[in-house]
Amino acid sequence: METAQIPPRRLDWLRGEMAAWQADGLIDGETAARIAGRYAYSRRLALERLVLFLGSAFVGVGLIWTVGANYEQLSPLARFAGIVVIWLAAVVGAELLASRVSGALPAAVRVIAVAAGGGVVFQAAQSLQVPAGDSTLLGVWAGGALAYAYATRGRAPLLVAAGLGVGWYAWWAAENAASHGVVACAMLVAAGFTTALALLHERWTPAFAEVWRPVGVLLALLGLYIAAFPDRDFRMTNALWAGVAVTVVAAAVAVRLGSQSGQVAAMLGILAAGVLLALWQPTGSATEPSGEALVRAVAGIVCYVLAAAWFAVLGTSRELPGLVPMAAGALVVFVTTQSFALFAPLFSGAALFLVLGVVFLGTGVLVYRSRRLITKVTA
Amino acid sequence: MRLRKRPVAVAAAVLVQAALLAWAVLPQLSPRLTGREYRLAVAPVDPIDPFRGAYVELSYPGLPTGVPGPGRYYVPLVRDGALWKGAEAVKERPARQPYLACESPGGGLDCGLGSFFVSEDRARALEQDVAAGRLTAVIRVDDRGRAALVHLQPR
Repeated sequence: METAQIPPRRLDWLRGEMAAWQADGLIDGETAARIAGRYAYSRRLALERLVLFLGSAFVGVGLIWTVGANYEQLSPLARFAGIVVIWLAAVVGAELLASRVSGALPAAVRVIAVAAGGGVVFQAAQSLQVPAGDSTLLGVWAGGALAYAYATRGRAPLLVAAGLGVGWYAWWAAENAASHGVVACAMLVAAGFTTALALLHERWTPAFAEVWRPVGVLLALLGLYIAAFPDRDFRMTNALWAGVAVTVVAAAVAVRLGSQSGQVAAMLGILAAGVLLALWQPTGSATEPSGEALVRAVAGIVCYVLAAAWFAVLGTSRELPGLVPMAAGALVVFVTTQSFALFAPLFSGAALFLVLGVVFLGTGVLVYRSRRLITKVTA
Repeated sequence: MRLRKRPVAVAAAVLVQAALLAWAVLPQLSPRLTGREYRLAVAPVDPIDPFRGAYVELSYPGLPTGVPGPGRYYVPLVRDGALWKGAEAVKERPARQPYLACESPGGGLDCGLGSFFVSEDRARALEQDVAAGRLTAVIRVDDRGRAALVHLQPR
């Protein structure tokens, strides 16, 4: 009988489950021992994954960099043909590998295929002198990467594609929005949509839900962060209303087909809070804030802290990877910028550093204690 | 069954990527393949694109810079000695060619000719030549007014 090497966390989980099965009378002690004998700890797997991930990331960046270097010794057509060959070789190579082995190696080659796909886009655009400063090319790369990720059902290419998609969406929204409040609401609309998408994936492709859910959290925290700053020019645009409608429909479908309506309700609540904050335009100026402006600032902070706390609870209670550090990191960044905005006009030099230092230490202690409390309560 | 489906799905994804790429570069590809050639006066600026490297950002003294509001505009091209220059931008597509189809977010006018990608060393040299007014831009324009910058050449 062959022993499979698996990461320690997975083996711990398996042993916990087997103990529960034994307690429930589903399996006897001998069967449990035989199952346990099929698996062994291996830290090498995690190391392999890390090295392969780093390798594919470096090769990917190197390919894009090679395109950016614009080697004029080769003709544009030769450079384009070269990167197309690399792209197709990576696509075919990844599929051949995937048909023979599973795991990190085909995933790493698929990440290289995604990067090479971007290289093809940028090489073509460079050779044809497509004007600079336009988000379209990043969008084309992200769209192609998404199609590839879904065709291969690969989580690693989806992770890269989702990152590209978020980057493109933020750029596109900033390019087309009249004010930062519109960008904030665009982020929150996308957060609601990706959360609904994550819940729909949980039914058919659970591995993809693990990618889309953190993307939704990231977009929500980004949107609330921007919405905390007052925007005197904010107006709800037709595009935003359309986005809200699409998100509500997607959320309704996700609730109808899934079982986690709480997550959708929370994300729609965050979207509503962000829109209300953007619509709230207090009297007074930036140098002489009114009492209403202070109340709005406090409301913005409360919304952000509540949202970050909710994501931390969700991440801990459902053991969703990445959510807790993301929420904690976002909270620290938010407190940092809010502190600078609040205390910089009041203190200067050493006093400013001392006050901010105390605020950061307080935030750190708060985050640490909250994490422990959440873990204790949900356990 | 799953093994048979996968290559078809991957091939379809590759085709989707190729189609997206063709769509993205069509406004530059079409004038290169079907357009006629014109020469315009240029002046430089100098930045870097994170994905495509160094480029010379160009302005066109012979083209109109300001328009009343956002939207699509058309700039008729008229001969000016050895070069061509733009007449006043209009909202209606001109009946006669050549003309440039441009977009304005409000204020400025973008005709898709604002950047020229070259290696970093050559970008510096080109910038000096363009600043000294020694270069002209060779563009190709198709019958829809879509323009592509082909190269820079001495006056």
